[in-house]
Amino acid sequence: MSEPNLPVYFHEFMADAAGAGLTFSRRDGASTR
Amino acid sequence: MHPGRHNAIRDYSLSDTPATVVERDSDATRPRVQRRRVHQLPRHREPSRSARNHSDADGARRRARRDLPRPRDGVRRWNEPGAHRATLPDATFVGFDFAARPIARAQRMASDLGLANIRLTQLDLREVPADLGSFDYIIAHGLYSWIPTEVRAHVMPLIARHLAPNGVAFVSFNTLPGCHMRRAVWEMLRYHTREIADLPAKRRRRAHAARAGVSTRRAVKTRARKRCARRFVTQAKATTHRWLMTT
Repeated sequence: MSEPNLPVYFHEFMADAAGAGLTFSRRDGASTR
Repeated sequence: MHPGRHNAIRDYSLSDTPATVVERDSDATRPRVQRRRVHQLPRHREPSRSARNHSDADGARRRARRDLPRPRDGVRRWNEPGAHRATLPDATFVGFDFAARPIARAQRMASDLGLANIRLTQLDLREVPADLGSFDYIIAHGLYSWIPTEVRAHVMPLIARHLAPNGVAFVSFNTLPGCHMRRAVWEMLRYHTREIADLPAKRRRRAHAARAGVSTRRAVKTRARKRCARRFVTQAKATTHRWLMTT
């Protein structure tokens, strides 16, 4: 119970990943499935 | 729903038994209504092979599998490393966790199973050494939502630093707005357990006070609360008994 539980919106998650230089590969369809 | 089922509207509501099945033919002007028992409803059938081959999602998954890095010597993985050890005997697995006990348990399990290609360490992700290596697969399950914000800021840069070219990272997280529902329950539980949030420290203080022979305000309140609880239970039992007797 004392652990944080910090849900985020998908666009926030995407922005965090993009900020680190990570991208979602649309070509191979492995992005969100 | 797969092709061929688009024109079927089913009503599975429990309040309406037998269930009403409305099937709307494409060439018919009014719906054909059939009444069947629930247990007679047609079972879901797997789409045919041709339907599967024409499914975009399945095709994308197949293409994704084909394009992923093939397991080879040097393939590494973070977290949950044991599950694929048998199928990837030439791979190398590295796992770390901030909690020492789960890591100790995992180390025991790996040792018992004789797995030599798994390295498990207790580590703060902010202190991951830069020479840890590059990984074809990085898995961070749940972690993203379970750590404080200042630690979370290190997750993506860490992955970017250690992910090999053409590698794949899997990061799961609790997502909004759906998680508002879970958060409501979580907040309620936190509110009702706020008294025991710091139980070990409070227990220590009370034990210290008891040894010193001091009756703390807390002890007085606890005794009063227990008295109140006993009275409540007695009344509840009486109420239950009365209720059972009258109905």
